[in-house]
Amino acid sequence: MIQFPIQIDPLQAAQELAELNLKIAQGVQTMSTIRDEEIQYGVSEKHAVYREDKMVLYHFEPLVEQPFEVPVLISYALVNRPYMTDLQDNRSLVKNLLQLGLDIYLIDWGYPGREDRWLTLDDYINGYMDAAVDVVRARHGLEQINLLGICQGGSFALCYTALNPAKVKNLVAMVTPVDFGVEDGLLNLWTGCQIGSESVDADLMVEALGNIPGDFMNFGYLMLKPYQLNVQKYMGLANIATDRRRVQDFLRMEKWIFDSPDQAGEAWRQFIKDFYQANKLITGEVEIGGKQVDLAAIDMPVLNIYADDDHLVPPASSQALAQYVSTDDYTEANFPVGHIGMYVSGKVQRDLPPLITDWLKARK
Amino acid sequence: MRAQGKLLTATMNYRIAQREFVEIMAKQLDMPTRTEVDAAHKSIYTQRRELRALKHALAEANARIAKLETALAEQPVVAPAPAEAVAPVASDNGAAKQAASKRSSSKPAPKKPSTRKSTTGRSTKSRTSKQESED
Repeated sequence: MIQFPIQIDPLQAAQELAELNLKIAQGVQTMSTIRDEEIQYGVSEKHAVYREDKMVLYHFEPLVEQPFEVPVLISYALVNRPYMTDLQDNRSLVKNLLQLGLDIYLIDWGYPGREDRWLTLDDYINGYMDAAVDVVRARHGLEQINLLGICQGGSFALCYTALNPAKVKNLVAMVTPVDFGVEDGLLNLWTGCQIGSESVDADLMVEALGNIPGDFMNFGYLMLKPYQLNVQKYMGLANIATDRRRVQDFLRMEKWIFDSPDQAGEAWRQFIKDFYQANKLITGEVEIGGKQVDLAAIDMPVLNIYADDDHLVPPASSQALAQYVSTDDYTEANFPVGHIGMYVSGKVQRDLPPLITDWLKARK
Repeated sequence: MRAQGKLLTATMNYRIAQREFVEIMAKQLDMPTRTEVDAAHKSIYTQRRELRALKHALAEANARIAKLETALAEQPVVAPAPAEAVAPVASDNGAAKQAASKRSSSKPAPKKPSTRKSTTGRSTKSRTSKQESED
């Protein structure tokens, strides 16, 4: 007699189904009592020190009496909200860096509206970012500050530093795409690193949509791992459904994931065409405000941190930076997590902040 | 990926065609269109850029002025004219000292550099100058 390849014990199956139903019922009970106000983010005290259009520059309240004299300016990506760096008490890169004595500033790019459709990368990098750097320099009476760029914000930090090396003392790049031609990443392929506009016609999309909707971007990110991000994650929720605190953490992360700003049309067009499709960052052909970005102009110390299991920015894409900067002081560090794990993994949050702090303090 | 790209392109072309159709209707009804609003936004954007460039130019000019003023203030004081340096007669010593003191204090004080309260990008040099003059 041929056996069915999967042996299912009806009694055990019924028991598991009953347990699952019980968990779901308990989860519904838990979630029905959680209010939106409980799902807060941003644990570190901060205040706005500069505003321009929708960009806000925040300064975090130092947690030590005498913070490190050279402040750090964090540049986050446009495609998500920067509070991921300060998500909650036990998952906050910012808080950990503050506790170790750093003085932290953060650029919040805001939510572009339809009126921002014409903003270019020049506006973001030579406009908002440069203004933020100048404000921090002026507040501390320094010629140079430390710059920490994350993901797309890291690419911006590279461009900015290459254009203004005199203003940056040390550069930290975290999960930063550099070589957009790396074909390991599905995001790179979908965005057109191989077939260009045949994959994504950026000109046509901007003409049709103006700004690129955050929901469209999010849909793309979710479809990079369709089963894991659309099914498995929610099945896992059933297992934690009775733990109120863990459900709150889950919902906080969901809130962040789906809080995706629209992308200013012109800036998105240039980023897709010049960075993803033409891979101009490594060839020195990216032009920002009429000036060519030459990564070889980056001659200050560079700390390049990447995630081994990053499905958005393949490690090879970040590691490429070593080939194109001219600094003699280049350090690489990697962590065995994914893109988001860099902020939320307990192990990374134990090891990463001291790594950054020690590296910066050794280069004052 | 090519098939996906074609789907995306077709969707975008449909959206553009839909907008063109709606805009024909909107014009008939004397209503503003997306194209017109985009043009207005572009005009505002261009002016925002010009404003930012002007602010930068103004900040740089102010920084240069502040630097020059600081340099002027730090120049050595010119020695008094020989006629004023004549020693007063013994009986009028106190009055002369007062007069000399008055002359000295009436010398124009170094002008403080113009400080900008605006939070736009202020160069470090201008801030240093300000601190020096206040010290």
